[in-house]
Amino acid sequence: MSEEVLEIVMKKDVKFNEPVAVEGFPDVGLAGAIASMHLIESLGLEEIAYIETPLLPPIMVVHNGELLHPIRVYGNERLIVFTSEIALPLTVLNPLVKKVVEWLKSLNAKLLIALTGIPVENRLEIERPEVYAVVSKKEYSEMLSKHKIEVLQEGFISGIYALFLKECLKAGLPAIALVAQSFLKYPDPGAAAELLTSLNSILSLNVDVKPLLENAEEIRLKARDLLRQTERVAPGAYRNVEGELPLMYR
Amino acid sequence: MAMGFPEDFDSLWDHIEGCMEPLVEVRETYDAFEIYVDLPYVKGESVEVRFSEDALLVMAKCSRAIKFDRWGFAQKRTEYKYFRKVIKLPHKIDPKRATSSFKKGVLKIRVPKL
Repeated sequence: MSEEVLEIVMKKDVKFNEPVAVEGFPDVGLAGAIASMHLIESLGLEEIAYIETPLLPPIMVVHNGELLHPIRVYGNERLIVFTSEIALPLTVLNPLVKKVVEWLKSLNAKLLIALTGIPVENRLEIERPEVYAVVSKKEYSEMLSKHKIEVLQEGFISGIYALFLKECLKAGLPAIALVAQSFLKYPDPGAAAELLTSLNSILSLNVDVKPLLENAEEIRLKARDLLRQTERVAPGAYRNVEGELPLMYR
Repeated sequence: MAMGFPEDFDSLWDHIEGCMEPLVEVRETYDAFEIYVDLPYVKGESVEVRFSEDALLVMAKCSRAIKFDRWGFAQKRTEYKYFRKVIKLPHKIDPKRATSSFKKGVLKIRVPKL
């Protein structure tokens, strides 16, 4: 299907000023999705746009009596946050990522940060999940070391954040993925909290992550359906490659 | 049908019974299964596990009734009070040697294969 069938529809007229974009689309443990939704709520960001495409199932969302599209864009002139309340089928990922990166380039965005999780078997034993980074260009590693975030040196990456890094590399848009140790099969507010702690450091934000930890049970309960949908439409199997060793390891 | 237990239905929410299906992860080793069950709002002492020769039934009562006053049409009238899940396994198991623990709202059951 053609990529042109996917568009970003503006709801507000925003005068962007070299914005930083954050994507938290549903993926492993929903760490990025939970983090992005908490980011939006904490900063009181307004919905500025939504994604319109026939590639998605016929689903709309109702919040506070208002009809909304499931994939939405929140933000202001300096910060843009992408989030989705439905799982993204594999067929949507490529056109979505391409369109988002193309749009961000047209806005003269200066950085994209992808938020996601990496499943670890012993997550139950880990009190504070570690956050790693993957960068679209080696030069960004130095900036991350200042924030004490370890950058992946060798390995495979897969999933929507891998696509974002690929498209950003092609488009010349600096991109970083923050990857938190996470549960695979359950929503992980603890991993989301660590992602936001790293994001706070990088972007000099002051998002309070305590509500994520204090309300972890409620979040786990509410996020169950999205996690199950995500597993069904984009099976976790393709993330297994991340545990494999690349041939050209040196 | 899992031996002796009625099958779960597809939704995570049973709006009639006020019952929720928990998310489950099953890991298989060469001699055992490790089953992880996500049980928010549950205390360890409220969990009950029953075994058949190749399945488990996990039941857990929530520490409080859960209600979503603005959600949906039928759902907003429902109080969700417990979790229930039948977990079918691909081999026969030995329930006598099963062990379990409960941490951070996650039930872990290890049950050897027969």
